[in-house]
Amino acid sequence: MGGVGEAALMSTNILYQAALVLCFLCLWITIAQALENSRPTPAQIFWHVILTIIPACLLIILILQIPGAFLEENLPAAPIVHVKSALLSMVLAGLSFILMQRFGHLVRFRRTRRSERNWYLLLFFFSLSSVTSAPFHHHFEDLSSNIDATLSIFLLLALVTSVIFIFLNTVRLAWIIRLPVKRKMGALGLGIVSVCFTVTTLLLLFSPDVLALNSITDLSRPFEFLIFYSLPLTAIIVLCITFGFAYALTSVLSLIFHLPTIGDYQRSVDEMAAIQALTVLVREVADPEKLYHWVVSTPVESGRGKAAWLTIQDLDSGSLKPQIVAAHNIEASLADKVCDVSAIHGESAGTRALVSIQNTAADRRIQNGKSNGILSLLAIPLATRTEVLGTLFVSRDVAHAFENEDIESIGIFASQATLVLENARLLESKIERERLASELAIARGVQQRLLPQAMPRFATLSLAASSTPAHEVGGDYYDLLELGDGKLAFIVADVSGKGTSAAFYMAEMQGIFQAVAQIAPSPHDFLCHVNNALGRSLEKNVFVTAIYGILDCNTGAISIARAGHPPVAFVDVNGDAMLLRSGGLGIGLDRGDLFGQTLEVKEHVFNPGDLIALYTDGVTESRNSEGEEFGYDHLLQCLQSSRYERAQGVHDAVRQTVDQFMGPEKKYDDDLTLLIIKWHGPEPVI
Amino acid sequence: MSNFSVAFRNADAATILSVCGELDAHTAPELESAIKKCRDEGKINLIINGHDLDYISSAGLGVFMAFIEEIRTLGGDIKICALKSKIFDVFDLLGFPKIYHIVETEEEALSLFERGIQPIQGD
Repeated sequence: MGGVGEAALMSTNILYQAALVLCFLCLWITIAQALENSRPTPAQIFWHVILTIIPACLLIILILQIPGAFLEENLPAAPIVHVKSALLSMVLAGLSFILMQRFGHLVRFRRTRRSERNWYLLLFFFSLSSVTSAPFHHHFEDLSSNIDATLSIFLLLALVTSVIFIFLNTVRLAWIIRLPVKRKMGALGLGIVSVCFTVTTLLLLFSPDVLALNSITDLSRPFEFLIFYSLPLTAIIVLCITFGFAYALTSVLSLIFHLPTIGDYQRSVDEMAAIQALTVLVREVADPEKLYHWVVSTPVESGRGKAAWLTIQDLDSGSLKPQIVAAHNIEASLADKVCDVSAIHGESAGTRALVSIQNTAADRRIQNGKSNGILSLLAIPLATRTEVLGTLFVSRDVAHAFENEDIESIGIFASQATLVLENARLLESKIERERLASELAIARGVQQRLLPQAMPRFATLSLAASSTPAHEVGGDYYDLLELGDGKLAFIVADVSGKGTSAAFYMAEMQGIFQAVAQIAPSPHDFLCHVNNALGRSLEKNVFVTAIYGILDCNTGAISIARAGHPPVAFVDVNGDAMLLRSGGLGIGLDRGDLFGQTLEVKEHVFNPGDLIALYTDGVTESRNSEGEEFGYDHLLQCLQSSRYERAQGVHDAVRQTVDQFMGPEKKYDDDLTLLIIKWHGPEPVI
Repeated sequence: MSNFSVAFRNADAATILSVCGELDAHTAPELESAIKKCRDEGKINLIINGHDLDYISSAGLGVFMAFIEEIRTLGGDIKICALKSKIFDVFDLLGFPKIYHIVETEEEALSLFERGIQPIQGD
């Protein structure tokens, strides 16, 4: 044959091979597309592979049944042989492509950049082997002898590299570790079946003589047809099948080696799942009972312990003894009886460290541990940064049962449980706080309405008052009541203590004032009535101090009595200031006659320009940043200097001076009330 | 940060509780439990020595009231001594001297017990 013929044949070959490559590339993409959409689990992939291999092999055998074989060498083949080789190649290519795609999923399970790169390099070197094998296609065996040497080196290199990458990729078996126990067993079975099956098939295909099928059909080797059809395709199919076989084999071996550790792995998976469930739980369940139940059931259900219980020291219950709030696989009362929960809880909480009792028979804190199935015991403190929420007890019915790994795992679980419990508690206390805050806001509103909303107006005198509680609600009270015939009753009172309980007595005081002042307006009668009425309801350690008086708005005659209260400050128009300190016990100090006997009533007639200040100790005991008290002198000075103002002006001056004295922080330690009454006389001074 | 303390001392006629610091709503329970302890031990003749008492609030005063009735029913008394003038003023304002023996010195208070002087109120 001449050079022209050679070149023509060569280019025909190239075209033929290129067309073939294109066709099979399409096949590869089609399969990839079809498989891309389904994302089966690793175990399902195994099934799919099996289900693909069986029909493919049957198909191959069927195609081989078609009559037609190669004749003597170098003779043109019959058309049927071409058809047969095309069909066989299609089936084999399809099978190997599916195999590659499927195993590709497994290889790239939990992929990293490196595993991804290795996989694509594997595909690349498979393709390279295929391309470098092209010139060796059987049509040109005699023609290409001159390029044989260099090309075969290339081919060899490509093949060797492919084999290396086959090896690198077959060790990617991350999916096996992740399989649940049942799936693992299933996959193992399948793997063994598929490996056996592949071996059988290969034997069947390559050496039909072994099975003596020769007599039935003309089972020539299918690969002969394949090589005849296209050598590059053959190369790629052989490599793919090799990889598939190698991967299945390593998988099966790996599964076998993993069998002994399946239980342990499963346990840690279960534990992780339990912890995760616990975290989810806290978002949904605010009920501490349910959380406690989870905390005790998890270590038991994950197999780390035989029984578990949880103790919490609830100081609010008034008992120092930690209580068992939940128990799993054991009766709480039994756990309490068998082991000295307080002592162990105390140790774990005190040291904030785990208490491990490996043999309870030798520990005096546990009684009859053996007969009750408590032979090893762990006590883990559920400790936050600032406090110990409780102690988790985990027991086993064998001595020395807890390995380091168990202790570690339970420890991790305990810290997780601590977080969960703390979150739940914080959530609860936040809700509680918000509820309290809103209720206190309501109480404050109610209390403010118990105080006079507007000052009564008189031509002869001016009035001004204010009351500021240290907390939301307070125990200070002031009020004014017109009694008719030009008389005005007024009161300033202070319930001892602060806050809610004081506020209740303050409300009671208001009721008594409004009612009693009408019936018994004179200071002596009024205060004795109050002492009798309040004396019955006041707690032993609570008392009320008050100043009560009556002012005749026509004459300026004032009658006033003091029941343990800070004295009235009196300033006359000339600037003479004094404290009117009459005798009188605090209300509630004495429930007998002594109160009435000691109570002293002062009478006075105002001159125009005279003023009195009634206040609670919040005014005189206000402290500045150095801890100094405002004091009586300071108050009197302030009243003196502002005595020409009307009552509101005097009031504002005193409040401002007190605020200035307290400094910018201005934190009221005590409820602060001030009532100013200024007498202007029958002809009002302007 | 408690700036309050109570110290016990036994004399022949009475138990002396020396209070020190600031007696307010936060520290009142300390004095309360101290008096409770004395009562439970049968020590019902009590002297509160207020020499080192710097401040007393209404809640502090309430502690005295909480026990006086019971102690007197048992046949004992609470007497108060050695108050600073500022503190005495607070007691006085409320009328405590009408109900309690409040004296200058501890010896005086002891002698009141020794001489078997009855509490101010007969009831």
